[in-house]
Amino acid sequence: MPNGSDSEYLAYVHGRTTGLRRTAYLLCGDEHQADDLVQETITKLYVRWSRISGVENVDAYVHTMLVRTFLDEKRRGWWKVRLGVPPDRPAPAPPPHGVEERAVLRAALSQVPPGQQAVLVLRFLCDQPVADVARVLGRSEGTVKSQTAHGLTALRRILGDRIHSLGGTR
Amino acid sequence: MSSSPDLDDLDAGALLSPLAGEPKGPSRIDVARAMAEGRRRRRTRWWTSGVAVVALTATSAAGGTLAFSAVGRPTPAPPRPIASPAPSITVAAPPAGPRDCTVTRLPTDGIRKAVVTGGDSSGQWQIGQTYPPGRGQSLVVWKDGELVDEIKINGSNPSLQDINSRGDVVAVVDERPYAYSAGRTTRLAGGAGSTAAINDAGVVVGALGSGSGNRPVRWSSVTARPQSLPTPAGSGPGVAVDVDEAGNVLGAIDIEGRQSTGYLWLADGTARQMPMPEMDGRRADMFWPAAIRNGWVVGQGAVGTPDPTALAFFRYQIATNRYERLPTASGDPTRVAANGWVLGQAELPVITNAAGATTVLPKYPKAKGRQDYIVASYSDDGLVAAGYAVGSDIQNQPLLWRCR
Repeated sequence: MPNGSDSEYLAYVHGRTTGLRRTAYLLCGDEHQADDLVQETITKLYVRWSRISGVENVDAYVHTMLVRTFLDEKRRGWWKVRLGVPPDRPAPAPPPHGVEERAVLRAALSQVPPGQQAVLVLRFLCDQPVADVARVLGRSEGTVKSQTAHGLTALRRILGDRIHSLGGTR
Repeated sequence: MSSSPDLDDLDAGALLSPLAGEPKGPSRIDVARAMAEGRRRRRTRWWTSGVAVVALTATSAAGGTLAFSAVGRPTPAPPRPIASPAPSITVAAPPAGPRDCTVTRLPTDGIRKAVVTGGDSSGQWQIGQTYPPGRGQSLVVWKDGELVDEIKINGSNPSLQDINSRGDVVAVVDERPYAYSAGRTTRLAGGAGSTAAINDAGVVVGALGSGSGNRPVRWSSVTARPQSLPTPAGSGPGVAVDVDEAGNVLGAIDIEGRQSTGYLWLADGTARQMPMPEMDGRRADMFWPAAIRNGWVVGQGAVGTPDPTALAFFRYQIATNRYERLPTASGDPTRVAANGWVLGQAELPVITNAAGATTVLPKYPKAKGRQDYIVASYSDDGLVAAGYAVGSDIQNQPLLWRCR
């Protein structure tokens, strides 16, 4: 269990950055926003690091911070993340095939309420079981299940007929 | 809602599968900056924690009521005379101070995003980093408002820490202390650690080790062996945070349950813990130092350990061993000039002159939305400041303020 020192923080963050970036990218769908999300998360983590030895499962704790940062961002905008944390935002590189499909889906997902977005991404893109998603979001498993259903219903409604040109058309 | 959740889940996985994937570009995550920003937030947690907590804290810190802006930061109540152990200060006094302050954006060779991380005592030099698209970060030096150098040091998480009036720079790269002068990079002796400041005589201060093993050190030159700065028996980790031209070193060490409280290693060879300032009729539990210049120290007093319940801003003079409480409108003090004027961060950068009167520096005119300012450089004459703006509708903008 980490003891709260800077060296342990560095070791921890270096070991987790790839995974955090991936989750952040799946949550927001934008590489640069994903880096902002992770930057904000590891900044918050450093603020609390001196008391980290009191945390039982640090990975789950950090995962929760990342998702909450994402949800905060959806509610409040990005200004706080950029405070002293300045990743650049060059034009994204042209993605390979499937770009249109992804764009349609991402646009639709972004219209689903943020809590439901997080549930859908964690469950179906991060392949997390309901119990883990419930723990990360601080909600009951029943709530996660109902938010899954509501989120999928909303997503299908937003996609309308376009759903037939995407996967999962049943 | 589907009556067949398992099938629904399978469908959902297939439906969302085009969104799966990994970020492909290089990571722009900056761990050193996360730590620096984290340290700043630890000191200013009262500004960003829940509003109810902030209200309690700020009210008690200011001895009066505060309004809150949309960003959750306390907006100071109208200035009022503040009792202090130093000669009494009235905020409304009309003293000598900065006049006709203007702001300009430092050039970045077309790069849209950049920050200032330090500057020298003459106000001529500033250091920082730009964020060229696709190239991570670039370490840069400005002189007289012009971009004059790009510093290349191989390694992760590079950060320029300070520059003196000869243009000598100290840096941290790969969690190790570095120096740079006229195109040449030197790794300072001592292993893992960090630099914090360099004075015009070339004395560098900082820390070796990391985290709970941090100890404050001084290098008499960038090629010298590090000298440990002595700390009292039983004290915890510590760092040197700044050095003035006389060679007085300001540090922050954990001692007797006080976290990162002020400590002085004076040029005459003596060392002592800084006394605690008075805050609203009681003695502060900690003093968090920010900067030293010409025998002046600025920082924050904190009541409550380990998590403070009240903070206040102070200016301390080594010669008199006395604190003077700064008005809330001074903002969080970050730098001090040789004449004792203080550069602070409130909603905008603020200069507080010798008599305690505050001058708010102008905003970056292109920012229209919410914005915040980080200041990192202040000249000895108190007339040149540098830092950067962050905002909801702007990239980070490196800024230089000049007054008369």
